[in-house]
Amino acid sequence: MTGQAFRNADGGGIDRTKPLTFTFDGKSYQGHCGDTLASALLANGVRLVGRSFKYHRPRGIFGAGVEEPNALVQLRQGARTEPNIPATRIELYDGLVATSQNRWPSLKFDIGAINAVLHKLFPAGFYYKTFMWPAKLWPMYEHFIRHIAGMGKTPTEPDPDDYAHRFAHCDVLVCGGGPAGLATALVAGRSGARVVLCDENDTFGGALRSQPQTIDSRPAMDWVRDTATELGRLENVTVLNRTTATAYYDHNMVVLDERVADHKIAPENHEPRHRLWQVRAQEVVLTTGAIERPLIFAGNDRPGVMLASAAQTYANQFGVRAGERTVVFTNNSSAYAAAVDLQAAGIEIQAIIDARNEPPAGDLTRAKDAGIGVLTGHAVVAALGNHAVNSVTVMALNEDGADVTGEPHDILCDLVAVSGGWSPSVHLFSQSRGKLRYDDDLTAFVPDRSFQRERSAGAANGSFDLSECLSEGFTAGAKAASQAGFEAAAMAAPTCGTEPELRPRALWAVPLPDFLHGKRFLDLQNDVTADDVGLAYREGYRSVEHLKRYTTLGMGTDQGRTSNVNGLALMAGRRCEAIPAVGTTTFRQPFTPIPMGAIAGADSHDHVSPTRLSPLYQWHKDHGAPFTTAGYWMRAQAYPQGGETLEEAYLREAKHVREKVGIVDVSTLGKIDLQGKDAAEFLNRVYINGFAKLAVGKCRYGVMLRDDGIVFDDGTVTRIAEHRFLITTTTLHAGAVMTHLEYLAQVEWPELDVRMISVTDDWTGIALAGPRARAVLECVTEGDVSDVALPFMGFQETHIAGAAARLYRISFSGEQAYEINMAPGHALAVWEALLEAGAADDIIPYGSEAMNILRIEKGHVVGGELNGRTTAADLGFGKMMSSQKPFVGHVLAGREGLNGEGRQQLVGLIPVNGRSRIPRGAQIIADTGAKTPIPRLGEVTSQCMSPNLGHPIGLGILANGRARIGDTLQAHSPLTKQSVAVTVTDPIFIDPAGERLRG
Amino acid sequence: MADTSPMQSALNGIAQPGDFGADQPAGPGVTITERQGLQILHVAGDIRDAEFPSQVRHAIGLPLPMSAGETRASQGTRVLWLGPDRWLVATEDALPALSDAAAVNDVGQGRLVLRLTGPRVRDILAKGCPLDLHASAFPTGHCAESLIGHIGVTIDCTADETFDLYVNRSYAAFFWEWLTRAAMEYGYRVLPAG
Amino acid sequence: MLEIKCPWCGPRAQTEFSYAGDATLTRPSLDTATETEWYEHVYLRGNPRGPHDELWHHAAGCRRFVKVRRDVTTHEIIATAGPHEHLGGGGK
Ligand SMILES: [Zn+2]
Repeated sequence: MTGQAFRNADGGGIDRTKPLTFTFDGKSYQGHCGDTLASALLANGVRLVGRSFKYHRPRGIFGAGVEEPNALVQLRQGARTEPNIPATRIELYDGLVATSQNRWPSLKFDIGAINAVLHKLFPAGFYYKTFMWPAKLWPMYEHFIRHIAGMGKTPTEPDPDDYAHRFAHCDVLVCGGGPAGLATALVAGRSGARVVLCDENDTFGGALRSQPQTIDSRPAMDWVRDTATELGRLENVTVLNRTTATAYYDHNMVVLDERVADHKIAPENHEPRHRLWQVRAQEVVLTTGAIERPLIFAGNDRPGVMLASAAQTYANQFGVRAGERTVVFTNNSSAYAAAVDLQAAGIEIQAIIDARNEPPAGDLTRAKDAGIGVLTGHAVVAALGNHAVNSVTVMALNEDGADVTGEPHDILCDLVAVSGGWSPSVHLFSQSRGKLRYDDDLTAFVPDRSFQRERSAGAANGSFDLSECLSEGFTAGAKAASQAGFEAAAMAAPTCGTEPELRPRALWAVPLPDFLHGKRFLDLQNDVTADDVGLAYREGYRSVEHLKRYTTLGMGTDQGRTSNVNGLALMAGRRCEAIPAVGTTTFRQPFTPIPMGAIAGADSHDHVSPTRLSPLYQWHKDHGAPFTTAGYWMRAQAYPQGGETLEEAYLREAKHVREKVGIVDVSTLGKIDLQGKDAAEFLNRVYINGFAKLAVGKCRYGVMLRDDGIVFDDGTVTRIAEHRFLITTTTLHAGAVMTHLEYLAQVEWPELDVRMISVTDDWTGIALAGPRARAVLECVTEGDVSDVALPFMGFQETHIAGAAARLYRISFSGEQAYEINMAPGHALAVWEALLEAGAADDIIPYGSEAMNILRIEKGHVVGGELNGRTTAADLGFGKMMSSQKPFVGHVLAGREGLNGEGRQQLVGLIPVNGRSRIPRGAQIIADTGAKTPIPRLGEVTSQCMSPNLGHPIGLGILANGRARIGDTLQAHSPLTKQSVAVTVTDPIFIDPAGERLRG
Repeated sequence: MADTSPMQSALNGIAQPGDFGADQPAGPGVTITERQGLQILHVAGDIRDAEFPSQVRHAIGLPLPMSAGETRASQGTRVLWLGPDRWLVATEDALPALSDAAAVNDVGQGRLVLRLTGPRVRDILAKGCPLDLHASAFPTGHCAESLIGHIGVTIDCTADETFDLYVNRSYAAFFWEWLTRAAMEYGYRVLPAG
Repeated sequence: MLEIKCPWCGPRAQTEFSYAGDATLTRPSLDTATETEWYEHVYLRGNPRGPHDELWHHAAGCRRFVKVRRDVTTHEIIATAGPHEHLGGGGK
């Protein structure tokens, strides 16, 4: 056995034939298959594994599982490195690399440990009190604190692994695969119900893995294996190992974190590293077990102080002696079994220190039979040593436990196995809104009243005896299955060896005698001491929620699993109240930390949000277009030629369209097909202008308002047939408009005969615009597209380049223009046919940037102007508003505040010097030199360089804007500190009479 | 006049035939085929209207399914319940002519239709779909509209371990990437479109 | 994540729905209602504790609007129905 000085030659569930090599802080060690990093470190005699968060005190391994507060390590290297992983939860694999955290420059010599000397500077609430003022110095404090108070390092490279999400539904979800959970799953599984059973460990058995007991005169683990095998064979049962039920949400939704590949050096064969399950269960059974509590005494954080059950686990499950000589310190009966097991593993038991004056006779007999001395009514008042424990000081407790008396004795030992009683793991129960009850006999909170369809069984329910765990499990499984509609056969609980009741003596912190100094740690991870509770109390932070935030008690990655109950019990003592009156802090999701990757799942990299592509996307890409997003859509911005910059390209395109002709992909516009006998009436109610008289084959521009009278969206409506219309919406509002129309049709006006669906994906849109548009169109259609046959705002169903098409004579650019809609499969052919047919007319493709310039030149409004604050009148649509009919928003559009003096109205803006670009998002003010606060008259909503006018232009909304036409004002950007003098103009810069579009 | 213009698949240049992802001795977890040339109609109407259901039945030769998730099928044609007043008709035959009693839209080219078949198909869909996809809850002949990977998808279980997915065309590339990433760990095969 | 029983589709995940406002309100008449009535309808809302009637839109499903009686303190859903149907269960 190379170097594993603390490994026994036999015993435990590890495979000694499979040695594994790993490194910790750069040093190479060996462990075995079946080890955790914690057990392998202990086997190698490594006891100092980290430094504490605040005082940088040396820390060792305290627990053996999920409760571990101390032994947090940095696991793996490079892109796969993860901080803050408890060594007790890391399954050892060959080639594992871990480093200690929170120490600088090295674990044994840590400069931050000076904090421990200066601890008066770092009391609880230190951060709040010291660094609140002066605020200017925060960056300096922060730099200092961050450097020394780090909790490991996040990776700097992208995570190379995949993470998966998984939805699941079941009749019975069983959280925890100890004896109670297995019993539950067995009964429910046999009933035929769909069962999901998860357990955080690699194998089932829970506490039975480390506390040997018997079921029907056989080792309990045999029953565990048989049951797991049967469950594995049942098709209706899903068995998940290495899977922690970590969050319980509404309507019986439980999140499970499955660590698919964490026990390997890297995931294999495309498997994800983690799989995050969202399980919706008819019934949930919580069999999450219990966690042992520590006892609180001076120096209880030194390496070598360990939960008794953890020391027992290392001995029984891993064949590892956590020390050579131990003192067992307990307030209850469970540590007696642990002591006997430790002794059997070859650890010398110096004594059992039992806080109880009169332990049950059974306990004493058990100790006596093993030849172990018991000191009753005593307590360990201090653990001594530097990097590890070398002795403890023991004194007698007085009657009420509030003081220690008599002579102190020192006992030599390198291990202190402590047991302060057991807390049922009620975290998930509490997350489910279940009400807890304080059980005086157990000195612990236990589930009382369920809120959701959920029940607890076994140790999680406060039942620690094995036969009780099994019978509760059988009952819970049968009840859950029958609630979910299955018939479950009753199962008799097998006969089990009995363990004594716990019978704890409440001892929340061992009193500190006057002659001793030392910190009594409650929360090892956050360095919160018993005295900090007193400080919080004196300073008025007396509710447990305040206590938590003031002292940071229970706020670490371990969620205070070993500290919460002691902390609130001490506060209850200070307040002279009973523990139930003080209550618990809220148990929040998640129970165990979940990696960010697992939360993101597949929603990472390019998949953070969906993208929508036009059928012409690939063409745009092939022709060098950069893209911009509009909602989920990717839109081609422009098509740079030769060495053009993007700006040069779109300025060229915008000029070219007004001079010749161009095509642009407008597939992203929302399109809604509206049908029904009352479709015209419906539109009449929805839009501010009238639609009843719109002729078949005609388009009309329309504006819709919200109920509050503000403009919602605009677009065109085309009457395809008597009872059929096509509505277009802006790209960004397509979804909201559809929902709005469905709401009105379904909820408010069910008497109207209308139906609608979104047809955005069914029709690709290409706009053809420019003085030569008709000439190009005539080349690709046999239909009559003359101005007579297809006048401005006319519509035809026709064929373009061989494809069935809808042809609209509408114009966003202000030029002679057509919008062609065709089925998406034909879009590329039509696009290319237009380019080919238009070659003689010098046709070009143009992108969204040029389209934007063309619309600004025409004063057409889009998102910047439809900003949720502007009325139809503000935007110049006042005359469109019908007085002949009611429409959505008409009443509130007429209210005083939205009308009259001072409204911000749409205007055009031109720089006075004819050169300066108007700053994007600028505020419009009268005088930049005025005394602040300078009155804000309006804002710039759109701006561009106009290649057709040869100077920059902008649109804005400006108080009394129409009356200010001709005025000179300032467009000022507080962000860029730019100010440009602008002349207020009409918002239509080009062809106000609209001759070009009718041409 | 019939369309003479060439047609293009939404997966043009994206989906390549072949085997991808994990090696599975038992074969790929799922086989994916794009179903091209399917005629698809979205039909909306009021079932209280005396004429509507019978006219649709005459035109497509199948009664409209009336309960949630119900489908009706004949050789080459499937009718899917989408809502109390909406149905999807997918057919390999010529498009049926439907009367004015129904609000009809040809959505054939606006949808990408994928056929997924294989032993892990439910596991793959369950990575992004909140529905209960277990065979007891989503058997052959059942359909639903829901979300897969945040995208609205119409899901039709056409046969044992076989699903047809209807995805809005603009999401095709995004969905394809989601689907193939989800299928990686089980191994997947892409067949040429058919 | 809530599970909402769509009256048409059955129980579905909350992610398929979007919240669509207060279902206890009666929309004022388009032709005859006054500015005050509209003002109250658009702006004034109670914020009652306990069961409350809400509208949800089954956006990723049948696209119907659904009336949902939900206890806003516990997320318990007491009943669901079509927008013009009566909701069972207590509260309002
Ligand atoms: Zn629905």
